[in-house]
Amino acid sequence: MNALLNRRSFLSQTVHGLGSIAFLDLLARDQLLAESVPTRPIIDPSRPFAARKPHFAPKAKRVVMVFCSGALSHVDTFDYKPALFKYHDQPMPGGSVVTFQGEQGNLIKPLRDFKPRGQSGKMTSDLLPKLGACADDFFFCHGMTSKTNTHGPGETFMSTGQTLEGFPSAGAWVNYALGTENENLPSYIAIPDPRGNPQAAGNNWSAAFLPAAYQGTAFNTENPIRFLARPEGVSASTDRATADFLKRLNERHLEKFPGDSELAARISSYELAAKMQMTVPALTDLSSEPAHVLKMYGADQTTNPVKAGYARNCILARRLCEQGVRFVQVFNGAYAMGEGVGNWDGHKTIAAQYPGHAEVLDQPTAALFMDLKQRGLLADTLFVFCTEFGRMPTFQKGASGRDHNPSGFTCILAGAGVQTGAKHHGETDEFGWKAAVDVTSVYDLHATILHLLGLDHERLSYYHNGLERRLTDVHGHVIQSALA
Amino acid sequence: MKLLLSVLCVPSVLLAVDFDREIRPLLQKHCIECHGEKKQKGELRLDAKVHAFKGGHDGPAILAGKADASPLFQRITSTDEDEKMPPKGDGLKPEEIALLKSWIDSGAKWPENATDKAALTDKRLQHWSVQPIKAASALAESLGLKPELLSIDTFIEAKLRENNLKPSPEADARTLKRRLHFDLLGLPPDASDRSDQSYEALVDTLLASPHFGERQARHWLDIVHYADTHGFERDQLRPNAWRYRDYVIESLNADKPYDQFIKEQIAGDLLPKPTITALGFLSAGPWDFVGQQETRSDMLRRAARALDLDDMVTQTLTATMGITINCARCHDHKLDPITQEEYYRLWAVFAGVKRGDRETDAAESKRLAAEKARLNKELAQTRTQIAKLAGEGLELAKLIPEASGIDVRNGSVTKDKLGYFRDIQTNRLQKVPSVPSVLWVFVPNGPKVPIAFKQEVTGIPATSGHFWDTIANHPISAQRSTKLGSIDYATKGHSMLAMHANCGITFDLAKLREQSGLKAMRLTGLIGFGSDKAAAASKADFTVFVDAELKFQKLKLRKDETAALDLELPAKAKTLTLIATDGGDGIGNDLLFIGDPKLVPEIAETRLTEADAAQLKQLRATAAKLDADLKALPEPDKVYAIVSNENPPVIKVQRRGNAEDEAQEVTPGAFSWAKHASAAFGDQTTPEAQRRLALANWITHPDNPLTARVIVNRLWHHHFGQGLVTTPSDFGLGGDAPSHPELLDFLANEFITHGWSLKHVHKLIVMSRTYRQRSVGSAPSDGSNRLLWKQNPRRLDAETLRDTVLAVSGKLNLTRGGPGYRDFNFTEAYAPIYDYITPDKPELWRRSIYRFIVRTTPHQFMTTLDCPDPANFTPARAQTTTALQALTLSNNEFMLQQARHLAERAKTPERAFQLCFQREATQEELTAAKSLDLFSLCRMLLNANEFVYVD
Repeated sequence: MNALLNRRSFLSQTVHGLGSIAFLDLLARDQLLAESVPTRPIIDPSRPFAARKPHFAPKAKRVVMVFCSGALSHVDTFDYKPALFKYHDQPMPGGSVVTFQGEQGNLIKPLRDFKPRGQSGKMTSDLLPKLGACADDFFFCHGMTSKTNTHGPGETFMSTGQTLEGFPSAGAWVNYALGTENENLPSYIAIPDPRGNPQAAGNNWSAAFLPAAYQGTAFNTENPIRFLARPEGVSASTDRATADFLKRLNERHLEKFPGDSELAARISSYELAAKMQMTVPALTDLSSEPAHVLKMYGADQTTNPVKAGYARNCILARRLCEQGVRFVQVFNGAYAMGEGVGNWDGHKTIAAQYPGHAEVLDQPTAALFMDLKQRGLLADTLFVFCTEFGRMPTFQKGASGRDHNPSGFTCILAGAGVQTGAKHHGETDEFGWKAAVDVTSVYDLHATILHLLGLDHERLSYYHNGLERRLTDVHGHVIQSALA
Repeated sequence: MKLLLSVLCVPSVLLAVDFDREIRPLLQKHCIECHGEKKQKGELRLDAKVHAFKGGHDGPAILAGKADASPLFQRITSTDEDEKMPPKGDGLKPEEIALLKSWIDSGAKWPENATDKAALTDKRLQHWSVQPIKAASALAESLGLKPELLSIDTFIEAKLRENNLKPSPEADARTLKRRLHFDLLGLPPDASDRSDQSYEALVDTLLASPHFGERQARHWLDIVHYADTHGFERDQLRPNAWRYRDYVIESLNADKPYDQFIKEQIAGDLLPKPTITALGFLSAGPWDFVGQQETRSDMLRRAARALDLDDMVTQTLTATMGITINCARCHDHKLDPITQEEYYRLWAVFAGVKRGDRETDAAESKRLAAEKARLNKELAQTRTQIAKLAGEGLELAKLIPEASGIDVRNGSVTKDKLGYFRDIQTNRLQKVPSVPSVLWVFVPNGPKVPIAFKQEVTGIPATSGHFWDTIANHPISAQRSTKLGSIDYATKGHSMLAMHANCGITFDLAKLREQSGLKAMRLTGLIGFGSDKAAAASKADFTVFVDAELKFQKLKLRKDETAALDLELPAKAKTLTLIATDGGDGIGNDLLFIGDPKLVPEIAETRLTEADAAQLKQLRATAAKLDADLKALPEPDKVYAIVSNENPPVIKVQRRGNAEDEAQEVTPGAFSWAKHASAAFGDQTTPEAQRRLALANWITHPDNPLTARVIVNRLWHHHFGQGLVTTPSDFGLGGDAPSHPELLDFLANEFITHGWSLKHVHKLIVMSRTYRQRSVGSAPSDGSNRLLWKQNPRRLDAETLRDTVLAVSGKLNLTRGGPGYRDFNFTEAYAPIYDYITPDKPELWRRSIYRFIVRTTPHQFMTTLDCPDPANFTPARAQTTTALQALTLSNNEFMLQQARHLAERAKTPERAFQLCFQREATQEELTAAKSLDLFSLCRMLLNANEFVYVD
């Protein structure tokens, strides 16, 4: 129900909400109440972000999700396919294929050579050598599939579990389920690329039908939280005096409505806002970071402002983890500049575009991962590296790039509760076109993320438009082999 | 495994098996958890006879007498891990398997017990909401009253007495006045209004106010998820959607009978008085341009169309009847007795419906189209005569080698299709060596543009700097049309010069004179878009320079316009430059071309007789006049509604909601759960619109118990903050039960007997003592106030809060209707960019109902205040309290601007309190306010709880 955080329905919400009371009654009458009944978090409307207990003991307390917008080619990065080198520039066996943009040409070998990495000897591409160097700590999902081959719905699917707009993102579900450990900061933060928003923009961090309080707050080091700063021309002392005045006015008003939790919550929301005004600017101000840290991330590279900007976003992500923010999304790639220009959509001139994108992604992301590890944060932080779908092992007919491929791609899990040693789940076929072994859905990935946070994806639900909605819809299996 | 196999090898012995003793417990133990009332994996239930023999998704599970062929038996004996049942644990014991085998082989006798019998009668059919509405006499009897004594208060107070609760006293006059204003108009009372109208007179005044419809329309638009853009990744504009929004406002203001209101929205085109604007209802939701049109994959297109139909069906049924029909898309409804087939019958109703712009007045559109055709024809004839007299002249397009184009990047001539260029250096002149009469080509980007060697001009707008394909003498890549007016310029006897924005070309007039022998010339031709409907919102500019002098410019040419060229080129002129630019909205769909671009001799330069010369002059004047008349023709009004295909495709059930897995055909209809009228609307031959009309009649049938109950409950919800049924769009088994079922029926009766008048119900509610109660106090036995022992205080929703801020600052612009205000900068791109802005201007001070609503890029200010995402149906707004709201209301530019206006208007703290709270400030408040400047005081008053809550 939408009135979830409404004071007047609070009492009923604490026993699962009116809509579900009817539902539970129905089940109870028929003696069908069992352990698999939806379990909604109990939310105190005056503290919607208070930390809440998961369903069972979690491995991870928080999530950092790096999202490569535009569809990162798996065959050019982490999914090693020797056959592509062998059959380079030969037609794919089995005749021509028609994909999103039309007919496909020949198989084309990866843009760069693959080399063994670390102890595991995992083969990854020279395109992303620094991320490759982290392979020993990664768990690879090589058999990922999507349900769509267009970017907007694809991103929306990866972020929300639905290809349509209007569904809550994974971060919003987690925020709704678990609240936060640091009530001085938004508990769910999306960090857009310095070049702009991803294709599906706010759908990626939307609360949709969940209470709006659970939406992601989008900001990065260049565009801070909106309206955080004191208005121009208002002095600090005046601003304080006005806040004090408001508090008095509201407290007097509250006296007429004794015990009204919503009015009280509104008073405390202004206090929290004041706290955020103190804490957030310090978080986005990276001047206190030592030079070697800036250098490690690549934030010092003034000649490549996009890379430096993305690197600053990665540092911000680490800081947010340190502060106990529950869910952080870091986007790499933006759509405003068009197909493949500022994102991973390499249809026409992939060899010209990808090295530049790789330069932006590789060092800062690897530094973020290593930094989380060396600071011990990885022990209770889940690191997710994803994209909306993969790319074809062929070039498009008449072009020098790869078309969309929802039939097979790679995502990475690492950190709290995840297997190390460059193990993997799922495989694509000989050429990297279709997932062939342990085909993995986005639902499975989401189920696994929730599982690591101590949440049963089949029980975390919200009543909307006649349905108990779930992040995983009616699908999803936890990827057991990923669990440490 | 060995054991299993050995069992299978045992010859089947047909033993008499006792079902109740041996088989039923087996099914109970191993199967019911996933195949029972709670879960129906594979749509199979084994908990009652009727279900077990019906089977599941894969057909019957038990074939009496044939165990080996029965899927049930096959699955419990399977050795395939993915097939084996039950999926977890050790599976059935060999002796259990043997028992099942003999039971099936011996005829699968299943004697009926109480459970089996109960399963035959569907108790869901007794659900309260589908029962007929109780007559007033029956309702009165339940209270022991005469029917004429029934009122809202008798029902509410009876229930309070039953629960040992007392109604609260009436609220004070100021509170009531605020409550009425916000509930009915969504605006605060005018602080200076001291009239002592009676309560009822005030109610009547407010119900008659034109702002009433503006407030109530917002609620309706929430449940139909209205917006002014398509949504999805290519979130394009719907410039004509607003006419539907205005239709809703006007209908509610006029208190149009609700049944008529619904009929018009579903089948307005078929009614005696066609109401096309109402059809915006069916198209109000999102539409996936990429999935429906752009993709080359038919599979994607089918998937997108499936979502489209699901959206229409779901919206229509949840909005009007509160039935969550969408739950039956992949399987029979889990809670309500609605089959999957019935869901797809509703698809068949809309199978011929697509979203699109539609002319609102067919007769007027026809007249305009005929007039346009006449003018175009006369113009074409006049131009032919002119051409005949003036001589053939020189065709510009033919200067470029046949079927070729000029690559603006390097000036080469090519027959290739080149596609999209984003990274060309703009304003760089490229020589075109292989075409002697063309000096330069370039990609223009104002304000200063070089058009020839050492020659720079101004007057060209700044552009995206992008370009598409080539400057060509043939249809370019993606040229959607080669027609302007009624002439197809790609046909014999005509020529075209394609100039997609942004490009420029400079001709060498001296060379041309040499080639042709012409002296003074005229440039003639017709400029327009070679585009289709997809280009509806696209604009482009066309400019002509002779030497460096601006001779012609048409800015922001629309795709449905053309511009005629007829320009002098003096005998001494050296260069002619033609420039196409993108109109400031990106190059998407800017497929400009010139039809029949020609250089013709000036009259003086021809060897015409005097009479012919005079006639030519006359003809040119006529052409100019016709051209002007054409331009003066108004565009027919359009609304974003539906376009209908008279012969809709046949709809089939989609297994598991998968468009690639179709089952049986279905005919148009609805679900039979509601028994008020036949739910069969025809067969495959029934014309498209008739299907919709049948559905509209079925929904608004006077005996339909749901439609009236649902709408009166919505009104109740808006006046009390929660409905008698707290799930306003779900009256099914998963929804809430009414707190006061008799009251709901009383209201529904009142509603229907008063001609489906919404205002009548509004008035009944706000006149009640229940509504007028104070909103203070607590009653532990009914903390959520379901029994209404007080009124509920409510927070202003996003729109009302914004409107209220404007009202108290004195800036509210009450202009009604018309296109929405756009508080964003729009950049057309593959995924258009909407950048919200906050200019302090009267056109942006209009009521929030007139906001141009962008679907994919939410309005940060409104969203923060719980304005819902228009991708969703929103029967009830959420009400959250967050720090971001506090920051937004304290520091957002709009709030600061209005706080300044409020300070200017109020002049004193006393007046500021009065304007914001419609009461006098207390002495204490005034003393505290002294520490603040007036602006700071106003800024905080707009943040106060007293400001944002209605008590």
